[in-house]
Amino acid sequence: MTDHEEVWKKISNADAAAFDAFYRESAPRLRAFLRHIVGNPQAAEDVAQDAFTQIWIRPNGFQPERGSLRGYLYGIARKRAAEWWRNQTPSNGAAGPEPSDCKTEAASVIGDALARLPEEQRALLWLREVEGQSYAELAVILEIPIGTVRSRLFAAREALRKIWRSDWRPI
Amino acid sequence: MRCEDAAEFVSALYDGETIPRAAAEHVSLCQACQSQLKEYIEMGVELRRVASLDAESEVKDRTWEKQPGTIRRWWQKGWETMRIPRMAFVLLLTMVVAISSGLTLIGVRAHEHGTVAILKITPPDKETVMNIMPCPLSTEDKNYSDCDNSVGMRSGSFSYKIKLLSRDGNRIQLGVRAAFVNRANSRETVAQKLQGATEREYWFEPGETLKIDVDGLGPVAVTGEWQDYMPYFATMDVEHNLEPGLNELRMISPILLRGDRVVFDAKGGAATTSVPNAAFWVNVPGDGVYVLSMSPMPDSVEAHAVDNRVTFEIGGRSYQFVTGAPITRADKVWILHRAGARFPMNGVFGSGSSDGLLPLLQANK
Repeated sequence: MTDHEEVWKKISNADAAAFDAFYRESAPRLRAFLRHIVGNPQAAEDVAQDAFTQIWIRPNGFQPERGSLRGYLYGIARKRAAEWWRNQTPSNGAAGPEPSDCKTEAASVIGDALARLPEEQRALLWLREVEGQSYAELAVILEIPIGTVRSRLFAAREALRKIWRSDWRPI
Repeated sequence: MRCEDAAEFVSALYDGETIPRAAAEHVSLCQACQSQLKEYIEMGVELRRVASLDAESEVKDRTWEKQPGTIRRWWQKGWETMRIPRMAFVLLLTMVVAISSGLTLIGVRAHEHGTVAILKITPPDKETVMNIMPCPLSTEDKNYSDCDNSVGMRSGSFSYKIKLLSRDGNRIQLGVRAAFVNRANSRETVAQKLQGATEREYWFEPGETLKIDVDGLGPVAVTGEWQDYMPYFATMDVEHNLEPGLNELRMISPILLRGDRVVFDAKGGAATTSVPNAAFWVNVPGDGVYVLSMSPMPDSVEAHAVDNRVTFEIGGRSYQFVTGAPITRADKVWILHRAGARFPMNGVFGSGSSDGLLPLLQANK
């Protein structure tokens, strides 16, 4: 049995301590991911909390044979983020991801380039490059065939490269 | 190989995937592809550096207490939004549960931990006149492993029966029989045609779309999603709320009483419609068809709708439809009884517009 299966088993048995450990370990990275998806730190926090709550209430949605618990968490978070976007209207100020709240100028270059990509490409690149999700896990998280993962990753990288190289990168 | 053909493989190579020999040879000789690979590496490094700056270790404290189950939360939602006197509703529901041996609620709880695929059936746009009820299939309970439905379309009737045959990981194998009859040029009923239809087998993964060609109708799309329990309103395309929508007719687990005798019992079944002149029909073997409509029909009698029951009289005898939830916002509906008739649809009851249903009924008097 893998580690994540063991954790999931405990969570399924309503082991609050095991879930809290999972939450504390995963929350910072999940929030960072969501900040780049919804473009708003408060919304990212809310969506992250919703995602954890869903797993805690309904752990049976996770199927260990399909991927890791962390992948499942990101899949839920991405769906919640999509719902959040659907519920936004121009009047409540959600015009698109804000430029990243970066700590250095260099960070803002790639962060802002990323923010100019469509949501799906942002999510795909982040999950692959930062979270290191495999093609199989990405297929489950994004609910697309595994063969499509490769072509969409390529399209996302090319889109990012184009922005990064032509508009942002110092010559 | 040209750069355009190799470009996608450069991305795969960067991801640590193996790529075709021709692509690998091209990349090793091509400056542009090597430069592309180098830029991918730089972008990846930058993204991970940004992520390292972004990730804050501080985590909001939370208390994790197990929440009540889904059924209870659904019940609470209905309870909070209920507009009829709550005590009255409790008494009514208790009576329904008592009459139907408690199968409604007990049945739902028995499936709370099951694995259920909720399928949505979508005919071609030009033919669709109403939403079609979802089709819930349990992979654990054989009593809930098939579904069937008949639907009036613009030019005819569409009927299908779907069985869950097996499961392999996230995929399910379906046995599908489907039929369409064009009402202009067919003497055969859709139920007769469906009986003679060949069962075809398909593998389907919830999240994807399965297209099924139905002769005379065109491609019917099957979509779906997994749920970890059998929802009470599984066969209804409605919010989990006890309040019927505006102009909605909603029949959940209905029974029909003649005097104090049960003449019809569709335990666990549900039908809903919000089309103009919304109507609900039941086939009562040996007795005929009853049509309950939101608007008057020729030869119909007026009936009173209160909460989850509709009372009426035909031929000096009193009748009552009793269901598991409020039926309509209207206080008046109309009932038509056709002795000896039968709807040419599959199943024992259904819903639609009385405009579309009555011609079918008359043709089968």
